[in-house]
Amino acid sequence: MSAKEPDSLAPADHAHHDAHGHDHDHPHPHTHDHDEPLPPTPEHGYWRSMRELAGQAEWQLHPSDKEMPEGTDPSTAPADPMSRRNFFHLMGSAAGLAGMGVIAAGCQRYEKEEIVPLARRPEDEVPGQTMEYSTAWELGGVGHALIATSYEGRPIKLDGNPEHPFAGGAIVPGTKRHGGASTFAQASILHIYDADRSQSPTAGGKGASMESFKAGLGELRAALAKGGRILSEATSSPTVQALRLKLAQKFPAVQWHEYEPISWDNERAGTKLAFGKPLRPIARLAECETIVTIDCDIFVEHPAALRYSRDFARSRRPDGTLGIGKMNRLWAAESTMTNTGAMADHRLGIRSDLCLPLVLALDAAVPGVGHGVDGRPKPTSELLAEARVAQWLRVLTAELQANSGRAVVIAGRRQPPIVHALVARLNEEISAPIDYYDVADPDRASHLESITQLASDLKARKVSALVILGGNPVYDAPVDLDFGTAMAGIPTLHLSEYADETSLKSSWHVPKAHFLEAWGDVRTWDGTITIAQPLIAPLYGGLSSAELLSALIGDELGGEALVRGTHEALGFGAGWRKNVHDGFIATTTQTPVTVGRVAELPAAPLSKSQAGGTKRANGDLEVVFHFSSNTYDGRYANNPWLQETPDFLTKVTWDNYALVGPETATVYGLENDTMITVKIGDRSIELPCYVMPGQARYSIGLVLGGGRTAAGHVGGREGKVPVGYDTYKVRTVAGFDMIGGVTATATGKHYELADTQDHWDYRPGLRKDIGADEIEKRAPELIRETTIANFVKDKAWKAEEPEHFFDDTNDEGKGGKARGFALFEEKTYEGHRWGMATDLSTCTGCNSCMIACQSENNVPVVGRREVINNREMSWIRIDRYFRGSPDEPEVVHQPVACQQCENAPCEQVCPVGATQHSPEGLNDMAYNRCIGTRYCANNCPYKVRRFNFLDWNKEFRDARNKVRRLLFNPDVTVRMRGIMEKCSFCVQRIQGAKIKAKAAIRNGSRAGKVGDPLQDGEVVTACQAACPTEAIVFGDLQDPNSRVSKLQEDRRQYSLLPELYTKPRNRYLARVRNPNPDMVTKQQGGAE
Amino acid sequence: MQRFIFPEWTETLKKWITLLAVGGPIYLVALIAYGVTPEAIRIGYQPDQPVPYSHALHAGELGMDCRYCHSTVERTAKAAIPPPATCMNCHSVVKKDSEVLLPVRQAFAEQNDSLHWVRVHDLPDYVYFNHQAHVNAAIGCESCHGRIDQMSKVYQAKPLTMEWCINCHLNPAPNLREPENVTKMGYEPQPGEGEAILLRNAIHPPVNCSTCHR
Repeated sequence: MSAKEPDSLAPADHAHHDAHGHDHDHPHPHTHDHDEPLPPTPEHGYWRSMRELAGQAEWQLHPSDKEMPEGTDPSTAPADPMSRRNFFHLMGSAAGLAGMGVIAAGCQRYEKEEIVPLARRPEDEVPGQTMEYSTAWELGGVGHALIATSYEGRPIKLDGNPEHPFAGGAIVPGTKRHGGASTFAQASILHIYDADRSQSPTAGGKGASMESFKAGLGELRAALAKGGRILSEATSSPTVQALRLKLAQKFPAVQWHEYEPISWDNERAGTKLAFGKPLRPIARLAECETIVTIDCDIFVEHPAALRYSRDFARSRRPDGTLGIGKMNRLWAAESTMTNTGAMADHRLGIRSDLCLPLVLALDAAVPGVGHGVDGRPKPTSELLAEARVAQWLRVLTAELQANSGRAVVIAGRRQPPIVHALVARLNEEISAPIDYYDVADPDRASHLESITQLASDLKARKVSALVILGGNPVYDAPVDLDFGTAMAGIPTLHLSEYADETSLKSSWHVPKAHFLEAWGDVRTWDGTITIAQPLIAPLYGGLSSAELLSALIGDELGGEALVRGTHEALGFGAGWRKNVHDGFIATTTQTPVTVGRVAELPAAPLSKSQAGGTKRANGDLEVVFHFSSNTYDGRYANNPWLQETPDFLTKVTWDNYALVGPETATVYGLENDTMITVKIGDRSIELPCYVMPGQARYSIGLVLGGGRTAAGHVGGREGKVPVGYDTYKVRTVAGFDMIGGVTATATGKHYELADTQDHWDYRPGLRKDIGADEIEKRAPELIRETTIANFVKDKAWKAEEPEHFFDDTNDEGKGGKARGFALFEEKTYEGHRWGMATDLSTCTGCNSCMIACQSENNVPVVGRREVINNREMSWIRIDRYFRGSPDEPEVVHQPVACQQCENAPCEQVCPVGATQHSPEGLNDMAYNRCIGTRYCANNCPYKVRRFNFLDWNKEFRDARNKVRRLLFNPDVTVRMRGIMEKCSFCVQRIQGAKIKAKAAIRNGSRAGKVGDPLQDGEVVTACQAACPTEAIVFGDLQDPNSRVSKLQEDRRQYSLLPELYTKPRNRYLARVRNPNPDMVTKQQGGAE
Repeated sequence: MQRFIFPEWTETLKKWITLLAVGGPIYLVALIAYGVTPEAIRIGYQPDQPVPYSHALHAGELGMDCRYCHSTVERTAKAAIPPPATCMNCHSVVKKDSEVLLPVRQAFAEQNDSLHWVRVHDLPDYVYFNHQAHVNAAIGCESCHGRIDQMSKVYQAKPLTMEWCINCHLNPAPNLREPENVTKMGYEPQPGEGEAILLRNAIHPPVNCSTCHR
């Protein structure tokens, strides 16, 4: 390969690799010949950031070096009227008035409170008690079943619906099942109380009333009838579908368009190529021994992510669906590092466009039943000759054949239809456990075709009126369509939750009701009809899409009548009440269709870039567009929870950026935390560069969803600096998913990304006191791994080495070393002894637990500037460690919350006793006692305590934010500034369950006697409930049969920093990898 | 110039001034110190209510059970102020034209607003008191709320301080009574009644922080 390439392409700076300061032999990945064996992976231990690996001096001085950096730049710190200085100032002037005045102020009672009972209390409404209702939420045209918790009529929390058939069933048979829900689903509750939401219709940019809008409907109908268009965001709603047909009858000239910026239409087109009609493939991962993903994130981005996560966990457990001592093996080929790549046993980082030759080669190598193997030509691509690719393919091919019937390949949304079709053929060849489902709308044009057609018709003035139902095409349509200009001058109505970029260009804007404010229905990815029940009347007025359509038709029916009407027409009228209660209609779960043989597929010629190898010249780089974990496609830009939740892999908050691989960065001089220019065709964008370990060589990932100009106070609005950069500005029709011919150049401008990857670093003695050797030795103690082969073979293997294992009985005979050196009095426990176990084998790092905790525990948001200052408040963080070389690292996610130590160091140093040990072993935190010395955080070896440096909740006391206050969980104190806080094991849920159980026993409605322990599974923490893979298990350690007790006796269990003898209640289960023995490199072979 | 001789009564005055100079500050300090105790500030707090509802009449004279109106007290954390609909159960017949009941009738008719009662027994927002836990453990209403049946306008009768709470959590027996007597006002427990309940109901009130602070 190197012979063809111009010399200028050779890496200019070999010295970079030596800068690691590690003494290892690191042949450059491009210098090896094809036949040469793979180079050994450099033996880095675990590391967190490129900064750390490079040992940059800057890293040592970085603010995050200090756990609690003092002093904020006063120019950027929020003005605080009661600063220390002001306080003394005020005290001074008050001295004259002295005594009585001050005392009088102190004598006042608490603020006067009113109790306003409902005029008529609805049936079953019990003030002070939460109620749960099933509802549904839709993202990108895919429904998700949810349970909403309502407190006195206001929704305060969203969880997955555990009864729903789509993501159903407990992962461990015989245990209580939890729903699990994505970050987006959980955080979408914030929008209901967002004061930035549009509150009234606007006409021509000026405020208008709903009445005037309805009065003007006649005009709009007349305009529509002459050849209007409807542009809808993708929706799976049967009601909208029915209304659409009705609308077509009433206005035959109206055409319907559908657009989503993140779309799975390629999969539709691919299955159409393969089977003659668009289908929806859903793999049965629980049966799979081999799972191969092609540029596809099955854990977060995939519409069936929840189901895939759960099924993956089922077959990933060493005692799961595949039988004892067996687990699935995940292979991932992808450009951008995703959660799937991070979980993979064998990840191949390649450019997205190289997935075609890869799949062709795989398809050619796997003999198909009846298709023959010799008839299919092998693709000719230099890529396939590269040693790492050749080995990957060779071993995978053998494995796919060996695991025929128990292996599956899944392709991602960015891949062109032909890849999806080839994958379908591959799945047929290996008899993959995969089901195909009919889609509800087989005949629609793809989202991209549809919006392109609409834009050209708009420009040609063929459109008499345009109604946009949701979505934000002016912001997120391909830039070369110039949608904003195209729709100018055409009567336009935009229905949206926010008066966004599209609304500002529309002649009419109507507020859209939040999904918790309106009746609706959706279909989950498998087709199950799921009912969205409202929990509250629209706070700011607002209509649902269905209601607006009904108004356009002229019926003006309410949401309930519409949804119920549809369901009666579909024949589900009789079970309406039950269906609303359950949230879904179980009988509508589609049965998989029987598909015939995959049709003869058209030849797939390789482009020049695909025929080439990994290496590309600058000017010929690839760009792929990636969804944002902070804003999805930009729609959640005004959601501070999501904005502040660190990205799964980059750990960046409040931004979007270009993901550049380490080698690409070195070769082209692109540096982390600087601005770079990415030029695609004649368009270019300047945005921050994030050097992402594992990002494919010469592929740049552009994260979508930044740079909103009309999102709101949080996400950016006109005249303010927006959050992130608008990467849609370089996304064209031709380069919708990925595009080549890209140039990336450094600008040299510094830009600080608010990343949290070096925050709360607690690796023992990492920083200054000990040398690099010592770090390498100590860091792996926090992350423990093994391979399944090792785990099965070596029955004596234990994640926790005996010398680290503390032994309560000091029984030397049992292998435990006599310790007995606890610094403080050891406690004994009666009753409950709460504990937690977190399985690193199934934690996909999806952040669901973080949002769940934020929502449950009123965790404040601090903003970008304060995140940089190391002041984020999340009670549970997900530490992400890399291992191995920066270009092909292995990744481990580790959620870390308060470890609830039995010998807690924090408790010993509090001068006011604000943190105390409870009889059940919790580290209680009494906020009202805390005086903010921060001694406890200083003494915490796990760095899980969070200090309220500023009054993060100040704005909520403002009368204008009365509505936003409604979101708070009333069972958890809202903390003031100067207060320390941390994970409480959801103590409000524990106490609630205990009080309920005791009262029930005392009044005879529950069997047993008072003081009987709660049942296992009766208390579920918020993080546990949200975890799609049930990696977090909480329970009573006193009960030997509880799930958590059993897990804590597992061979895989270990605790963090056991040598400190803190006896943490939170234990981890070592990550078990399942590498193919033929792929084992030096590094993987050396499992602990 | 003749020397001025203080009259004899100034001797008494001097004594009083000395006494005042020494005792006054002490008295003032003591007064203020007492004045800022929760006992002094909170006990007796008796705000005006939108309707002059008399517990003395309803609970005392008519002998209505507390739970007729505070119906959720056994089921949840809050005892619940009754909705106007509860009042109207009787007052649509009894005193249906009364002037003072006008706000109740209005609230009942008006769907968007209701009566704005003023909270009397107010705990800090970081304290989570639970009626369900206490009532089912057989603590009398009177123990915390006093003789409601004698209050024509409700006032705070107990200090509701942390010390006061903890004292009972450490020694609950004096406040326990047979479950059927929980809502009885002026009930004198039999000797040994509390201790019996304590054993029978397995009552061990916790005193760790997260019992009340979450």
